[in-house]
Amino acid sequence: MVDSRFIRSISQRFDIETARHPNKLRRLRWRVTCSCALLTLLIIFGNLAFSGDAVFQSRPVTFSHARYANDCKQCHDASFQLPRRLLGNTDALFIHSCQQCHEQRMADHHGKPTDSSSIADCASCHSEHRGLTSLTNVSDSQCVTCHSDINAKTEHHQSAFANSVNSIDSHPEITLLKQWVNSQPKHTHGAYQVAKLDGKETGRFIDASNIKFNHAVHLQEDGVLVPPDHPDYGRQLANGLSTTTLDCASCHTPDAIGQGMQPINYEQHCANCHQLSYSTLLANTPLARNKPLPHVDPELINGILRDRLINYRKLQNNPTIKDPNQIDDFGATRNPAKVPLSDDPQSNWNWMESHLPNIQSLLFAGGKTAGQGDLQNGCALCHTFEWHGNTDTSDSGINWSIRASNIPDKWLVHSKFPHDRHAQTSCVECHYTTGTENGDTITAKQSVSGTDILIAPIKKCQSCHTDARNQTPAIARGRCVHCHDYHNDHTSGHKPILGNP
Amino acid sequence: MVINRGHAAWCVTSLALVILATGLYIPYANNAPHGATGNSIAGLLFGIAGTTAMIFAGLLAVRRRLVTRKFGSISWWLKGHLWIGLCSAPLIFFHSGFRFGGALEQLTMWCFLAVIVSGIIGQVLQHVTPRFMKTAAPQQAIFEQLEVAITSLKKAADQQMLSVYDTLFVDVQDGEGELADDFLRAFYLKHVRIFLQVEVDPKSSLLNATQAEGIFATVRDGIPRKMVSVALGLESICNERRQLIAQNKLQWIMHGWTLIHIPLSISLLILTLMHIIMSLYF
Repeated sequence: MVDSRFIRSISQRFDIETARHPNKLRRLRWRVTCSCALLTLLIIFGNLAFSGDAVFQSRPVTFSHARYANDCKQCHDASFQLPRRLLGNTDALFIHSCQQCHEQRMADHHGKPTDSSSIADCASCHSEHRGLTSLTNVSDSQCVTCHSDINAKTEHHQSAFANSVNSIDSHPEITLLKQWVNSQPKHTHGAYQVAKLDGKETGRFIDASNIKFNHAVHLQEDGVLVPPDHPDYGRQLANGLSTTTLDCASCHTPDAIGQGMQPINYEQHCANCHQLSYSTLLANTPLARNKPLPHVDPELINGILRDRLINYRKLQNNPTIKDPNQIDDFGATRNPAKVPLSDDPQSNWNWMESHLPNIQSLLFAGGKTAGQGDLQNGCALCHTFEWHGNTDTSDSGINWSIRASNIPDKWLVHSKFPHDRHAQTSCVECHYTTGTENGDTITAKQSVSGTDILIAPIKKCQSCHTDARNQTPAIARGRCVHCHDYHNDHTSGHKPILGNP
Repeated sequence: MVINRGHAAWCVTSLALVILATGLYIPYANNAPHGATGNSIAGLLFGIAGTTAMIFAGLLAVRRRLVTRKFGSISWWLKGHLWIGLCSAPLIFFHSGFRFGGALEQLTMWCFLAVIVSGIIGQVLQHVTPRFMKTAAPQQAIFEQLEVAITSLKKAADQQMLSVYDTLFVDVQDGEGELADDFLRAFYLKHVRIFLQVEVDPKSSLLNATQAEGIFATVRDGIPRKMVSVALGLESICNERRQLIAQNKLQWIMHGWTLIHIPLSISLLILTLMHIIMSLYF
């Protein structure tokens, strides 16, 4: 290219001295750079001085910890915590600082995790600095870390639970409702706390409460007979009997927090109708028209029966009592014609011992004599007894023992079910069983056997709850924490926060 | 630096690194219980990789200062600065999980983005501007010697005038100098010599080439024939002066982005250091 410049001499266009000095652009760039650096340092240290620690947070803390937003040391109590924690230094784990206020522990979970790399500390599941999200809102992926292959994570590689659960959509059937034909749940499974295997080919769990209860009778639409002197009911029939209509809520009442149900007990739920009046049952015994027996163990019943028989005997022997209709403290009337008089205590004892077995068998062996109204009285109506044979020489002098009742407060031991959030659903929509012999589905109102487990199968839950990513259309999400707690306190969602030291 | 075939190896390597990082990030982000976060092991590793890339890119400034040392050619470092610096962007985003974080992190990320974007803009300018310079200022000088070149042009113009005039600097009053002999001198002192200063009046009529051509044609018509060659010489000098002005503007365009890129890089360095200290300490 031809050089068309006016001055072509390099010496006239180049000055070595000028080359020693930076040009304008460089000088300006240097000044701007220094100013920028100073401004940056000013911003950093200004925030340190006036804004506190919150400026250094990656994201805001949850609302529960907002009071500590400017005091990182409340939780970050170890220096260089992040690298030390990642390298497994136990002093740097988020345990000690959490336990200043929270009493939950990692060991709360059954089958304590052996793989510490997945759950090292509280922060493994409860990740702070995610804005205003609740810390209890643990994602399913955290649970699936272990429960996708639980056997690999637990001691001896033998978990009592299904080995792989990845979401509610792949949740196995509830153990209580499965058919255990060729296998059985591990003995550590909570199902054994509330039920037992029926021992048949079907391999089903049955109610292990040892209480005979017929839901159908109690929930029939025509109502049930009640004693005329019952405090709450008075729909009197023509024959002088009274009836009332019961429903689920008559016995099953929500607990204080509205999620579970209050425990079933005789005094609260049964005594108003089943008053343990054995006067008719014992009509042909010396204890006819006695006052009701208390709801206690057979040994105590036995003792009470002894007392009443002895007192009856004494009454008959008391010559000062003139009125033949006078009754004793237990309702027995004096009938000297029936009772041979004797002042001999041994004679009285023998007389008592001769009548006691008959009365015991009437009470414990399943008598079905009509009582007040049309009630059937007798302990065996509801309870299951065991006879120990005539050779029994126990101190209590009774050959009968009662199988302890075991009505569970909660059926699903390893999960929680908030009834209050399902109030729009009728009881029988979920409380039914398909575990009948012919496979029919019967609801709680149709159940006649106390061994029926009236819990909804998992597909019932899945009909509404589904994995968030598969909702088409969505009704309700089905996340692990909705039903299960890592910290296995099933009575409440959170334990009280301890005082801050 | 122009991106040419010599950058192919760097381009391929950088692309491979980004693809590898993406391939590692996607399963990590999908499987992480709380999503991709900077305080997980993978997040930390991405952060370390991204910071290393940033530091490598920043070492270009050191290499440019140590001209006489043999730590790889400056060209090699410049290529590394471009491609490894560009790689740092996805790595840092993988580290943060595509979140901007708290106050300090947001400031750092915006600073980082400004550095990256200004660098890309600068690279585009460096590709495009030289072509303009070639057509707009074919008679360009060494940028740092522009003042020397301008001064030389002014001296040459003075000498051109002194070849036809005994003295150059006379008081030219309005209305005077209407004689043909003085016309050129008056025109020179009022317009041309001022135009040949280092700092040009933006309202100068000689800034526009077409306008200047017209002015010089008029001047040539109004001066004696013996002075026409001088007028032609002055016109040539003014043309060259315009090119130097154009060159100056284009140089500022081509390098002015460094007024943003470099200062923000220093800020980014300080903020990153602060972020590392505070994140690791707490």
